[in-house]
Amino acid sequence: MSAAESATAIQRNQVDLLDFIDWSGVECLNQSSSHSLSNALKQGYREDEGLNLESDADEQLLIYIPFTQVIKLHSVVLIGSEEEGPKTVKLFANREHMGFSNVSDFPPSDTAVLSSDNLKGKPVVLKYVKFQNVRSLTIFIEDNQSGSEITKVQKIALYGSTVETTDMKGLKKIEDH
Amino acid sequence: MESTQFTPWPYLPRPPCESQPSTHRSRRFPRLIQTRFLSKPTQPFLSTTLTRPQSSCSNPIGNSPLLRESSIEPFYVLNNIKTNEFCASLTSFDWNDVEPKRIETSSIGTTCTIWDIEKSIVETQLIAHVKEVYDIAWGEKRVVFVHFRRWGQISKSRKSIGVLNFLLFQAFCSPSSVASAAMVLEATMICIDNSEWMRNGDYSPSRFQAQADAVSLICGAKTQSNPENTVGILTMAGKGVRVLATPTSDLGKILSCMHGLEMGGETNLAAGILIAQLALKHRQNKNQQQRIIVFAGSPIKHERKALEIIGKKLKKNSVALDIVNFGEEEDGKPEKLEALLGSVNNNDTSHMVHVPPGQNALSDVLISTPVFTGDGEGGSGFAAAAAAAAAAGGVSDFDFGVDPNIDPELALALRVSMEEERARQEAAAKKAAEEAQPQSDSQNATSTATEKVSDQMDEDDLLKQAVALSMNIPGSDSSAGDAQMSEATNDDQELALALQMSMQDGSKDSSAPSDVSKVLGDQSFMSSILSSLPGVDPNDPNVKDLLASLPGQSESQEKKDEDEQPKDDK
Repeated sequence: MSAAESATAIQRNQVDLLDFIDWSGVECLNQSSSHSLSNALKQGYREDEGLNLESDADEQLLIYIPFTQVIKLHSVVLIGSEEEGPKTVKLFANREHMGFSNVSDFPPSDTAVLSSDNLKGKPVVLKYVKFQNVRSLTIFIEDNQSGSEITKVQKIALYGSTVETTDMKGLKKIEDH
Repeated sequence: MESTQFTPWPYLPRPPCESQPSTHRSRRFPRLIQTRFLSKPTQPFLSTTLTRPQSSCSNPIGNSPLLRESSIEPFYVLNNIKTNEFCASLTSFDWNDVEPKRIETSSIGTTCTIWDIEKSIVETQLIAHVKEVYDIAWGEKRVVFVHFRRWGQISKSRKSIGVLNFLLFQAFCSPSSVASAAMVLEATMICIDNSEWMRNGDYSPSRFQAQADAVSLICGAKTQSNPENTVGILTMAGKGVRVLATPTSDLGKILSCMHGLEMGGETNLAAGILIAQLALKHRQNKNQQQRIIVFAGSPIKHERKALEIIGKKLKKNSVALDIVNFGEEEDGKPEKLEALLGSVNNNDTSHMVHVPPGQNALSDVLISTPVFTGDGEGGSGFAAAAAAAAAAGGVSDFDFGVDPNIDPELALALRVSMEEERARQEAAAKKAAEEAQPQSDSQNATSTATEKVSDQMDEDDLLKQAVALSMNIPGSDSSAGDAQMSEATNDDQELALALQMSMQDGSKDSSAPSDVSKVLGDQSFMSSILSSLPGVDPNDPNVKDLLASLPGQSESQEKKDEDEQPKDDK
């Protein structure tokens, strides 16, 4: 159980990285104009179940999130519906301005296949060692659960810690499931 | 000299000049030819005199033989200054088309005045300038007027302007529509069709040349609206798709690579668009929006489905697409292009323009479309300037410049006014071209030359119209006041006829006064003028008498019969 304990110990130090997102550079390719990335990322919008990020021309989504400072990424939470929620998610650290055509050119820093638990809110723990020095994160949602034309994501939350300052008092405890 | 029709005002060269006469014929009051006297400093009045010509032209100062016979009687005298010592020359004047009783004048005395003619009073004065006002003009919309301070500058309306006008000016330019006046940072790839289909001459001078002109204009517009914009060019036909220039902001490089392009082969539209997308992907500045402009001049051999897939791919990568549909018209081509546009279009960032073959150059038509003006007001400065330049028949570097930044409402007003006027002029020119077609085979040459020499010929035209009108007075006059559009059309038509006649006579355009008598004496020309005027029946006994008095009777009869045919549909 030591592994599990250490896992939870790490988790306790993690902070919601929402405050460190550089909003001016946030981009999302293939999003529907009425259902944009803010619905999934921004405080308040992401809690609302009616507001989703939806894809447009097909089911893939490419989300680019730069940060205001260097962070370490520990886990992500992706909440969506059973059918149209994302399934295969690839994460790239520090790759600027990717397009759909070159997602296959680089190996992802991590790949996650979301289960229904994940879609309900269980964090996906990432390979922490790969995300030690992250300036920007690219999330590539390759397909969705049911294979439908539109992928819907209700919430995207990132958990980790900053590199420069780790404010112990500001750390919030993350509940384990 | 200024023209009878609306000339976009920044292009009226108007240095202050003592006692420079000019005439301005109102469209609403055709029998009133306003003569503006730029009063000498010794004259006490700041006034405008509206005159009515008795028998001939209204140029009060000149050495034409006709003038000595004329007399001008003042119709209205509008005087604003009560004291005797103040005076200021008037620099410009304009009739308000929507409300014909309103005119506006601008003067060197830094003020502009709006007059109500019927009551002979001053409606309002605009004291917004600190220097001389050189021109003023009404916009197409009733309440918008623009006036500029000095050559090359535009006035910024201050709150001290008469309340009524300023408020209305504000109301017209709704803030929400100009909120997006920021210049869009964009990388554009232009896909040129250089296939064999482009040899056709239905666009003057040839489809390919018209396309090349349009491309150069687009490049200029893009780079001018934002200096960081980049443009690239590729050709879709020939041996294969070839990228001539990757997106660069160096206008010279782009224009030079347009040189020496050869036509040949068949267009591969799909490959062209995909390679354009690839070129955009590798742009240096990733913050630029991606846009592809496609000139679809030849038939499309791809299937609709394939085009839709391409469109979706573009949309997925947030690439906007502008399609210029011109040249070859084929069944199903518009539908295929519509399908492509529909699959790409995301929030109206993509547009399609159909340019049918005709007299107007491809680039002229494109200027007023979203291809140039972009989604918001991004290209407003260049587009408006280029439109005006095309209308004036020359190229000018004058740019409204910082309009969108400093005064977005003004930019919007300028642009809308310019575009509407352009559209009206094109419609008028088209109609003139159609009407004049059966008359002479030299008509085509003269029609295209019409725009370019319009400035020079305007004086002649004015004189002839004045003569025609004065001859018309004993006849009918009831329908003279209606339908200002047809009047403008007639102006064009008469202008074209005048050109034709002068060319046939072998006289030069520039030497105005000496030719006037010659042309006016030309009975065939006179009869055609008269028969083209609304309300004038060539068979009217009065008119017939007049014509008979002119030399060359028999010729005139023939010409009249000839003219009556094409003019029947008027």
